[in-house]
Amino acid sequence: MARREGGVEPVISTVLIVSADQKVNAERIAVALWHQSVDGESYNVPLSATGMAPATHYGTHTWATQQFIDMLSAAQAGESLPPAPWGSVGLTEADVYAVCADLIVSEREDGQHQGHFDAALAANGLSEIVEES
Amino acid sequence: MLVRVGTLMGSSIGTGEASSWTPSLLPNLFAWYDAADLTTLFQERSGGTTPSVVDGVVGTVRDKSGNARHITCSGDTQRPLLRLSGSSYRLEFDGVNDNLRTTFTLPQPVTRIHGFAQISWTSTDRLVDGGSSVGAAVSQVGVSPDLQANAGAALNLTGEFAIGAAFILTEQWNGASSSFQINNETAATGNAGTNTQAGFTMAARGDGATLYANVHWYGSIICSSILSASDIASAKKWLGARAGLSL
Repeated sequence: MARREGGVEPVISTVLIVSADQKVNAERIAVALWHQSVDGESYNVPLSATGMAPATHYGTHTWATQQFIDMLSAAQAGESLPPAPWGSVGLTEADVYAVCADLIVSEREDGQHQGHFDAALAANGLSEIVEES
Repeated sequence: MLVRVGTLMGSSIGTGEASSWTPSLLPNLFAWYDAADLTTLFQERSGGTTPSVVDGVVGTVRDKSGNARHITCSGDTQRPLLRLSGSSYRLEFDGVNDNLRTTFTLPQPVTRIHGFAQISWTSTDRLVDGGSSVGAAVSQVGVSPDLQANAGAALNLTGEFAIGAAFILTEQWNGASSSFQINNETAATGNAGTNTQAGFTMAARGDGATLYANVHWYGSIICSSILSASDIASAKKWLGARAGLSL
């Protein structure tokens, strides 16, 4: 059970997986929504069914608030989007809804997060493409 | 060393000494990162205005050496968490894509001292590295929980760093005369290569792109020289106390 101090909102272990053809727009959403730098990267783990290149999907693990999860759920349901300068990053609302509809989302409570990413990959028939050191 | 009864022994958590010794007293201090100094941890990856909180993300760890070699990551999803275990603060890297890094140029000889606890072990994942894909790395290589140092040549490390156990790693990068020690155990010595460190990367390959380690990190001290035995002992004791170790 995670510790909570001073009424801080608990974080949720969140795995996000996007199709390779939606990655560019997914990164643009990150720029518009959480001020990621233009050259930054959120979905930076390459994935495929075989664990070999080329990547068919890209994944990430993050710690999200319930507010973010609720916002994502609403977007995936086609109900609403958070206010953000989508146009400034070259996106229309239709583009954002398309990314959200494509997105695979897995959540676990903090404290249950060990092995979460690997479990989410396995549940979706994906493996990480590991670059040799 | 005199100890005054009733005197507060140090002003920060777990200094491990009755004196006011801190890494700031080390010669050639190049960078110093301390997970227990909450005034140096921020949620944002740039700017750094919102302090990190326990069980919350850390986007920036500021360098306490005065040299402004702060470490951060390239995406919000890559931020580790700040954890508190007993009285020990540590950053938790998820082994998926969390990392913190910065770039600089630092040729050997170099001393780096770190506090770690491996959460899990995956072959070739890197606990620490320089600032590029060709650097000075300590990786999970061999059989769990073994480690290997490599700055162009491989030197295997053995010692008591079982999964879950905190340990202090003292690295002396000095070409053929390199030395790597776990806590106060017998050091592994020999040639670990001569690569110049192009920066500092925590829990990933030096370019921050892959080989992410699942590790707890208590802090690191980097000096641009080989420290004396006395200075190393002081630094290990100080950082060890941060990790709940008595060295």
